[in-house]
Amino acid sequence: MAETTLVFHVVILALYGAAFLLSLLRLAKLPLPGWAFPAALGAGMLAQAVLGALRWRASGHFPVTGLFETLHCLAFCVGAITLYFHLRYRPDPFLPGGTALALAALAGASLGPKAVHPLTPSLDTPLFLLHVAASFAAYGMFAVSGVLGAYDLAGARLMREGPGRRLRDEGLYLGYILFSWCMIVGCIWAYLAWGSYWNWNVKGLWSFLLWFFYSGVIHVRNRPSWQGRPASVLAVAGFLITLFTWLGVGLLMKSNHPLL
Amino acid sequence: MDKLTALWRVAVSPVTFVVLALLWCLDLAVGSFINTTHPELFGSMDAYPFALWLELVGRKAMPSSLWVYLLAALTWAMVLSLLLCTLNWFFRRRKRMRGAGEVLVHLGFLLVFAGFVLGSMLGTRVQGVVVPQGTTAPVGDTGLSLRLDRIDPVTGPRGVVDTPAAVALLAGGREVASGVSRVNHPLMWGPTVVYSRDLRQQVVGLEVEVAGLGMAQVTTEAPAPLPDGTRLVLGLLLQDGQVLGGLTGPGGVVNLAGAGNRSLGSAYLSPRGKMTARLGSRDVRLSGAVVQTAGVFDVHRDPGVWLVICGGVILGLGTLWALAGYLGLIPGPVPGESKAE
Repeated sequence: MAETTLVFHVVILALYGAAFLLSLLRLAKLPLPGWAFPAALGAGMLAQAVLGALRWRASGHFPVTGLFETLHCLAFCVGAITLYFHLRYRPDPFLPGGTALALAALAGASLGPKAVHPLTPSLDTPLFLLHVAASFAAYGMFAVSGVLGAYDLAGARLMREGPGRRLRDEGLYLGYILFSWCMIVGCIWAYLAWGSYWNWNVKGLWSFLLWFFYSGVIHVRNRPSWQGRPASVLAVAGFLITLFTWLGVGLLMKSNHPLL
Repeated sequence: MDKLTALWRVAVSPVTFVVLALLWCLDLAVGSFINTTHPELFGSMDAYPFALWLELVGRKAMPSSLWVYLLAALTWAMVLSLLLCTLNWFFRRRKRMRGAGEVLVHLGFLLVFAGFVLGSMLGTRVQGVVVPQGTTAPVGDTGLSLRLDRIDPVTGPRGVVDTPAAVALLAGGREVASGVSRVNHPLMWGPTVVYSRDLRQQVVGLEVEVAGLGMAQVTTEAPAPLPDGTRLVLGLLLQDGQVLGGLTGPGGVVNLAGAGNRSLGSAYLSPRGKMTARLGSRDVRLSGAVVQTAGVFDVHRDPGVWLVICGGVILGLGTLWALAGYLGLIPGPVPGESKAE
């Protein structure tokens, strides 16, 4: 499985790389067919879906354990959101940012071990699939909002005159809904597995921190005095907290959600 | 009156909530690092209901535990802010059904918090209850006891990964719940939950050679009658590594009892200490331990869990309502375009 994974991984990297290049050419107003960018990104995501299905069959579980699989999952979610925003709003200046983020996640996945492991009994529950799927979809939304927040802070026209702020706010809103589902399922799971819906382990604490942070953001994102740059600062800060909650806690701290 | 109105506006303002939420996050972030660097203080936080931990450990761990108290205070302040914000919605925004999702999320969170407070104050957690297979053991001082009928460990490449245990929970000697407790599938009896955590080999007795009379097995539950009419009775029994006074386990106090339970002599026998002793007129020698597989269980009782479940369901419905609003399935202004809270 490791060899097949490596071949697919290289192909996926190439397709996402092509999508990134096409998004830049599109931004430069080169005469490209309209389908080129979504086709490249969609093909990359399709290859990811096939790889995911193969690894699911080999391991017998939803393939989102370890650094390699989780970074692929994030890249897929960011790719899907970028594609959705492209098809709905055509925000051309955002496409290189969204695609670059997915590409960065895939590059990071290259460093992770690619072997397939059977699931431990503690993860062998339908709650695992629901919890992880909701959390990565939310992480993807928060990541896209963070990128759009960075665009705003850099003074991009997309944010002042285009649909950028609307996309940022949609990312925050949908991300918060998805992360709420992730927390509800996670709490049920923690109650069944560890004895309480609230645990004082570091992963649990940072997950609640992230949820409460975005609860605050959701409360003020439409207040006139908080719109614009303040909301973008919060979106970028939220993405940094998301990264720490997921990668920082998983890689640097002793956690019940290890990534290696 | 103007001052009261201004105070009310501040209290129900989303900005108040966001400032409190940011302070809460900052405190928790700092606390998480203190938590990981002082496991001797904070490692026991999941072993007690929260209020009991504050009383038994938190108070003594000051100032390291200050962040926990600050977190509790900020949580109460946020809950008050949410409560007032929700009341304000009922006063002012009753006709805007699209905003009902937010209110459901608020109500759900308030219920979850109420359940947490209830569980923290009235809940119990008894951890590390060791029950040898085929026996019954009390669950702390809860009045409950746990019977282990059978335990079948599941092993993986890294050792034991699950300990499915057929157990029965007894209240006042009467069986109230039974079934298999394993990872992700604890045994539940209302708000009382039995988690199978581990298994171990438990010393339940000693094997002793009595000079001239042969071998005898004596356990905590069964004395060993000897051919000469005397019998061996096991008093204190220590597990491997257990220390009591000057005694180190594994080992036990063996007592030779004569007619009318009159003690003819006793001694502590252990492979880590004295292996032989003279009891009355007999020489006895420790030849082994009687070992039995035992399950290790945590038993938690959380009377607030029903409120938490209700709160979670309402919160989940609120997010679904909000999503339906976003997708345009509920008539009214788009939530993302609303300016007022």
